[in-house]
Amino acid sequence: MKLGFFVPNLLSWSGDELVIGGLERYAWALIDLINDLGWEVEVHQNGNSNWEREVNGVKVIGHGVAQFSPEAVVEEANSCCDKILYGSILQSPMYYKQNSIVISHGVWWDSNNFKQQRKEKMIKLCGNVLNEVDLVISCDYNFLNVMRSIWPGTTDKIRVIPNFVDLEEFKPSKNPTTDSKIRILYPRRLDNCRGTDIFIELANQLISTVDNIEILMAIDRNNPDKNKEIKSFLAQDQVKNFNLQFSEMPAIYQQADIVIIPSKYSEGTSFSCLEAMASGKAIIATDVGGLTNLIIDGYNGILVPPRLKTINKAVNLLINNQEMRQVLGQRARETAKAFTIDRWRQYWAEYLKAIYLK
Amino acid sequence: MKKNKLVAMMPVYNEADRYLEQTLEQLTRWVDEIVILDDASTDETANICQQYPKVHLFKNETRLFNQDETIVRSKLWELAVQRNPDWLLAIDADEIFSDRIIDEVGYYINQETYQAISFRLFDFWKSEEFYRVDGAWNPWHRPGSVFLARYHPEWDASWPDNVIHTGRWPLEYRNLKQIYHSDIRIKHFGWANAEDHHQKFLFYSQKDLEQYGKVQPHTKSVMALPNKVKLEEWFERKRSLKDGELVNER
Amino acid sequence: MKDKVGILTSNFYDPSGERLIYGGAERYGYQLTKLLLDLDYEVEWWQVGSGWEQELMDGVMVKSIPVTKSPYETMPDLNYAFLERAADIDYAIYFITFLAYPQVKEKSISLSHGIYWDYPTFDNLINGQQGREEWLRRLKIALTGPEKIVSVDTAFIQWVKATWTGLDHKFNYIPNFVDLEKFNPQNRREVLKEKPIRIIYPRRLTTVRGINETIRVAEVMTSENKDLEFHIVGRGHKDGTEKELMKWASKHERIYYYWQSPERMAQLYKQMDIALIPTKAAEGTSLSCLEAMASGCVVISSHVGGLSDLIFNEYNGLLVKPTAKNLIEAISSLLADPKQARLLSQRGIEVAKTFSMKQWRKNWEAILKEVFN
Repeated sequence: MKLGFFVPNLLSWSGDELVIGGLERYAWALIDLINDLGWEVEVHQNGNSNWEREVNGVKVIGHGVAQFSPEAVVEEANSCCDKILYGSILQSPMYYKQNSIVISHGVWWDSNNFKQQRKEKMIKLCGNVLNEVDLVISCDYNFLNVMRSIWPGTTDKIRVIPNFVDLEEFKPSKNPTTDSKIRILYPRRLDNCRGTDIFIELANQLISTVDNIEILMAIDRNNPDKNKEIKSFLAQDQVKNFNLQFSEMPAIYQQADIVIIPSKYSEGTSFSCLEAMASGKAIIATDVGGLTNLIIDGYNGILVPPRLKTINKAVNLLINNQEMRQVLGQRARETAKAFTIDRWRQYWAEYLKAIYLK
Repeated sequence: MKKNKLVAMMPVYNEADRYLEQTLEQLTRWVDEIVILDDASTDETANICQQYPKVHLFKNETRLFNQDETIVRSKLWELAVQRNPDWLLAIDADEIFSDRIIDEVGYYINQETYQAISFRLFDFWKSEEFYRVDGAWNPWHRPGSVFLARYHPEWDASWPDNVIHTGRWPLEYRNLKQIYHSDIRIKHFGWANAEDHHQKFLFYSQKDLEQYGKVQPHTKSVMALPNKVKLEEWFERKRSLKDGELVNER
Repeated sequence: MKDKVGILTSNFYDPSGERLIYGGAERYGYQLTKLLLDLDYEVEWWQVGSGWEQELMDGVMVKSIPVTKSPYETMPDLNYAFLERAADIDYAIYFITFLAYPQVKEKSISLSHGIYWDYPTFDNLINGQQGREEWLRRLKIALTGPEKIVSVDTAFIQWVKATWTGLDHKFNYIPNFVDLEKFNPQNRREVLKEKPIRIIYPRRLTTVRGINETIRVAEVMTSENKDLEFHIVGRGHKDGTEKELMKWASKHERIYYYWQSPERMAQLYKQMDIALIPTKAAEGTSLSCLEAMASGCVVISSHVGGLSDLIFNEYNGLLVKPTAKNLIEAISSLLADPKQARLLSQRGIEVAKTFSMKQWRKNWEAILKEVFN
């Protein structure tokens, strides 16, 4: 059987580079699973022209029409695939085939940057998706809750499979650092929806008030403008930079004492949060999107509203309480055990078979 | 922990051939003391009562209930509260709790949240198997009746000016706020014997006339035609929690 | 002189003032009152009623305002009368979100007990799609007034953020509490060790709480597995439902129906192995779920509302879409793997400790300080 898989950017627009991000990691994990089911996958995505590539044995087709209309890519994909899996919900109305699955990576419009009318549009859009497809797989319960409180009749179609983490790759350090420094890690892309601005302000305050503090901050190759903007921040002695590359992340997490996930909106069951958990770190996360499905305040981390003041309070609490960091970290690692890739694959396999073998 | 004291108060009159023994037998198993006011019985009632060590028996020289129920109820109350209860049970000689009460009463009278406990009363009709469910008889639709209440020595105890349907509790106890409604059922056998019906009907009709000037609908419904009477069969239930163990309710 | 806090609710007592309604929200109200008294505030409750006054606890009065209408699921008349008549209060708490429509005291907090409209027939209460717009307009005004809004779950906050712009800063998530002195695993039976294995449904007998699915599950599973016992423990909103359930249970050998006072529930949970919380809608951070968890029952809960704030699937319980089939599968999976079930129970006990009354009081105290000073 052949299954079309629409992913907006598994590769870059030119098709020459792999894109590294949560969405793409999700997609690759799913491709692995589909292959293991013995099905053939054909990826359709945005392109700056029409092109075809083969990556890791998977056929990827770029649609040049994307430059003019993202919906048109889906239309083209619809016409070349009998069966198709939609890797995300597009932000404009389009036609989804029946007998198919759509993936929701969480509510993305829960921000003040979205004007009232646009919020209403997004909600309507999701309502249409629920009417058209057979199944929506959501990575968090937040999407489900929001949809149920707006379209209570149609949410039977939503199933939740939280994201996953590799417990072997991400694990607590065997030789924790013994110096007196407190290392605070921001393991995310530079993007305001991820709370970069809050974090920088927080880091500056900490640098000026706390001795022995070290800030671990990513350089985001995808966002050179932002990197330039915060150049003076990054140049401080207390700020250590690293490249946001997946292969380096396990070691980076191991160095940290406290990991901060200050997302403001558009958040699902964040891979970064799960990785910090698996690494056994004390985590401060916000009560945004799917993060509430990973962290229970005071049990395996601290959960606060996405405001500088609340995060600051939490960080100071943790800086001064080594024992609390340890307990929260241990429990975070324990919690991560409920989010293994095996479990994720098991649920996904069940739903894939139920819909596409019908 | 101090265990609260529960005193039952019960008026009786010629109960020897009815349910008195059954009632006392069971009460003995879950109340601390039973204060009984015998309204001048002419049968073996007093002798039966005296066989139960928990009973404190008092006796009227002449029958008062059929003249003025309030006199009997208020006297019984005065006698009962002299026993220094923490909680009181107001019960008649033909009312029998499901056995579950034996296991659970301790929880009811040793908690702090509620001032009183109400129960559903099932009126058995011309039998001991079927209870009446038409109109105001329906135990499922009427509010529970308070049988257990915390005693407040600091409160007054006043009674209405009725000759009948006085009620079992002083007025101060009739508007309690924190009432727990129990799911334990009470069987009432006052109407179980068909032969009594006509006589009871006459008695209540006359009292209604004295008190209200006309016979009340509920009194009239005692003589309702058989096709108006609806019955339901008693069914057994299971379970109760005793010292952490689940046991069956009979 | 002490500062005075007025709390506006719809029904603490039933509108006749004769019976105290003692459900989850009322238990919350008691604890909040106690906390305010401990912080040296004077407290006064206001609600719907003919004008009667009642004493709730020493020195705390409940006063009533005669109001009969609730257009679009709001109570503007009650809101207005409270504002005018409780003139001597310094601060206000709107105990239910919509009661803050249309106007609030200057220093006020409102409270959300969770999303309560997430079932299809809610539309009937607000007069369909057209009414929905007006209802939403009013709800937004109710959220705009108070300085802070305390939500018992994150679902409500997330819904507001997905629906409107500009209200984020008001929200504080304070999950519900469990009294760990009462609800704990001390002297409990070991999970899935002794026969019969006991499964409890500790909720009201209403369709949104999933009673019908539970009935189906109980019938199917007790007929197939002689070691199972089902305990349906909770009252109905209608007396007839209680009768039906009693009769139904009396016909099934290992199905029990009864109810118990909140005090007794703590004892009961210790005798139970698995707790079902199969809510279909209108759920916050359920007290029953927290209590079952704290007592060491393995919780099988639905994925509705605040429950996903309490249970992580396969970590400290199972989180399923509440269909009879899914519930049967979930129960069967626990029966097949008692070791895993015990791990879930252990973690449930640990997680529940985070929801202590102490922590809840601390969280509330911080908000009160921030708004009422």
